[in-house]
Amino acid sequence: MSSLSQCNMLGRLSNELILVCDDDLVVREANGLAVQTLGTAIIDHSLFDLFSPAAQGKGTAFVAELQRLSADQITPTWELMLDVPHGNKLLIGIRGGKLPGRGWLIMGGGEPSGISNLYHEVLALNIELTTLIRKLSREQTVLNDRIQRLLDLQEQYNVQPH
Amino acid sequence: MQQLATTYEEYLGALRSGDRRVALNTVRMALAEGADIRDLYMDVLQPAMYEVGRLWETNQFTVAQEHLATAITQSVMAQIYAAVICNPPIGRTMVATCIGGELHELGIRMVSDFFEIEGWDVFYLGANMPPDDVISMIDEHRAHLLAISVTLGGHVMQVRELINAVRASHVGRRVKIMVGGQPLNRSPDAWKAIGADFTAGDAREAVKMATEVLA
Ligand code: B12
Repeated sequence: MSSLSQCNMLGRLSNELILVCDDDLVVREANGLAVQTLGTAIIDHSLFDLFSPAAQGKGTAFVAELQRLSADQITPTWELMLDVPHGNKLLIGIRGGKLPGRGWLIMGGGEPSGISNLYHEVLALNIELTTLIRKLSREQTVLNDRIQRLLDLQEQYNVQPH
Repeated sequence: MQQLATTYEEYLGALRSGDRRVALNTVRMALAEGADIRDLYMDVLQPAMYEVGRLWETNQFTVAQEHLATAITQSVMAQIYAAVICNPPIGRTMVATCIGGELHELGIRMVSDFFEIEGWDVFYLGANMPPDDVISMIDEHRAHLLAISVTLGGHVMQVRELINAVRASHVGRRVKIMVGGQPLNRSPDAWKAIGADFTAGDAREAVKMATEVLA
């Protein structure tokens, strides 16, 4: 059985994306789910092209870990951000290891649908909340100052009755 | 300093375990013991967030943990904001904004707070503000200074576009433009290339520079 058909079987079992890369980390084969999710353009492109430009640093660290492995090891799962078709991003946990006699096998489970959108939505809400709490706190300070000034005035007024 | 080193360790520990209460208590205790909020920002919160970034990049933190740590720090900053004791107003106004789709806003909030402490009036606009709105804000509040923050390297060109738009507008002559953020810290001359008046590496230096430039 070829490495890809083995991988396909594995992939069907685990519902994961599977990529087979050569020694230079150029993607040579991909299972159906990987092609469907990442687009046909991934074939013959370097693994690095998959990583979102802003998250290249972490992608590079993953690849460095991959290259440090001995033949019988696999990487732990790395959460990486991948650029997928239509300008979308996919947060994915991937791991990899050396294939006997040739390049690398990379496997990854996709995010539960829309989780990174959810994260961003929650963070955006948190930013709004933070802004509101701070505004409120500022208003409170202004009001406290005014009350204090009024009290001071009243005190002055009380000690000097007409 | 030694004391804030302990606060830092405790705060980072709270971020690691995702414990908002411990994080807030740690910072509140330090404030109660007389720590300056500016030192807490510079020596505890900022390095702790950088460490979170490092943990994420080296796969020791998941995205979920990183987001939680961020949310905790945002919330801590909101809750201790009341402790920001401002000097009397000095009659200077700053408009602060992040560029385009930039979600990294803790840095510019810290910068804003430092200016408020010095007695500046600060109007924080957040991200995604169209240049026309930034210009209107500068006009409306007769701002002396526009602060623009950028964190993602890919956003630096957008800073230049915003600066160009402000310069070309009717407020262009009277407002000074200060830029900052990690990509600008990494390439120290970039601020000139994008047309800003000056830059600063962190919030403390920003106040110092602005005071000098606007003296
Ligand atoms: C928290 C965080 C987030 C949060 C931000 C939430 C928020 N409300 O701010 C969230 C989860 C949204 C996020 C998202 C992403 N992030 Co992020 N994030 C971070 C993290 C861990 C901390 C940022 C932070 O708060 N730092 C603390 C503040 C206080 O420091 P600061 O920003 O440097 O600010 C100081 C100075 O720079 C300066 N300064 C800042 N602004 C200004 C302005 C002026 C005028 C002046 C004078 C000075 C100044 O003064 C500040 C105070 O002293 C950093 C790691 C790091 N090293 O910072 C990564 C990091 C910035 N993120 C990164 C990435 C890649 C991303 C994503 C692209 C991830 C992804 N793959 O989707 C997205 C992009 C989202 C977007 N469109 O913006 C990378 C950036 C890499 C790069 N070279 O561009 C970093 C460096 C992580 C890493 N190690 O790779 N992130």
